[in-house]
Amino acid sequence: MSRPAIAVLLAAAALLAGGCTTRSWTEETDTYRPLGPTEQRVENRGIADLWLKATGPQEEDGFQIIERLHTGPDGQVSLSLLPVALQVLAYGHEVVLEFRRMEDDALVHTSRITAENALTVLREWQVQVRLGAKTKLRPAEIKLLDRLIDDLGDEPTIEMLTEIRPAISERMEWE
Amino acid sequence: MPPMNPVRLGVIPALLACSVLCVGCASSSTEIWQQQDRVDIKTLAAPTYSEDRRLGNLTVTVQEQVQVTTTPSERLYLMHENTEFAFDWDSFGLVFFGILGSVVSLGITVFLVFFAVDSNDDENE
Repeated sequence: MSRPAIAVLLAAAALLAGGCTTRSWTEETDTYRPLGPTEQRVENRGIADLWLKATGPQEEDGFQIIERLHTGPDGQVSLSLLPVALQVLAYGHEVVLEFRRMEDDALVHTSRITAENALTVLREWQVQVRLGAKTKLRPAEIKLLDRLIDDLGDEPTIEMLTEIRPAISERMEWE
Repeated sequence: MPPMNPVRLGVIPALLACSVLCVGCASSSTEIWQQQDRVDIKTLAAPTYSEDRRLGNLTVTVQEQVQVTTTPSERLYLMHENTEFAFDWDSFGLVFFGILGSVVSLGITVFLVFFAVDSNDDENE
């Protein structure tokens, strides 16, 4: 067999052995074909994935409530008012919780908790605890609660706090 | 009988024909219309924050007023398919040793059938 023939044979064999590659992909276009009339409506929608920071006033001993909250799909965030109620009762003044948008630190909402609100919160937590609810508080908040049980003069409030105390466990820093 | 020349036997033209089949490049695109409503959402007002106090908890709801325009429609998708020649050593090795293995196994089969078995038969006779 001549050399060109061998070369051709090898080339053909390589091509044959190489084979083919088939690549397929789908391209998404911006072309639409309407099928019916357009409908328009106005609605209120919850904003999901929004980070908020709720802060209360800082006390002289350094106690402060700071919570980082994240809105769910329905645009809602929820936080326990028990620590706020404890702060109101322990320091003897109303507490204004400030909600700030974390992306730009803009103040978007405030919530005022008075002494009367604080007692309502305690009553609600007392009922929940009787129903078997458990909750977590940060170590500083637990200290505040224990201090209130020891020092507060008001008997009905102490009763509520004493009833709530066993249902409370310590909340970790990362929680 | 003179040795058979593969060139005369047409092996090379046959291989070339096979390679042409492999090399052949092709591309096509298929239009697919898929039902997908066209939805435009336009924010009408700044977000509003409302609160609800219940069961010792505070729930803050963040909402915005939006105008939703929905048009039932189909969206065009293009499915492309492209076939091209590509050489890589993996597929070359696979084909090469595949052919080699076939030839060897065929040779062993022929040897066993026409020589080994026949000779055994002769011995039995």
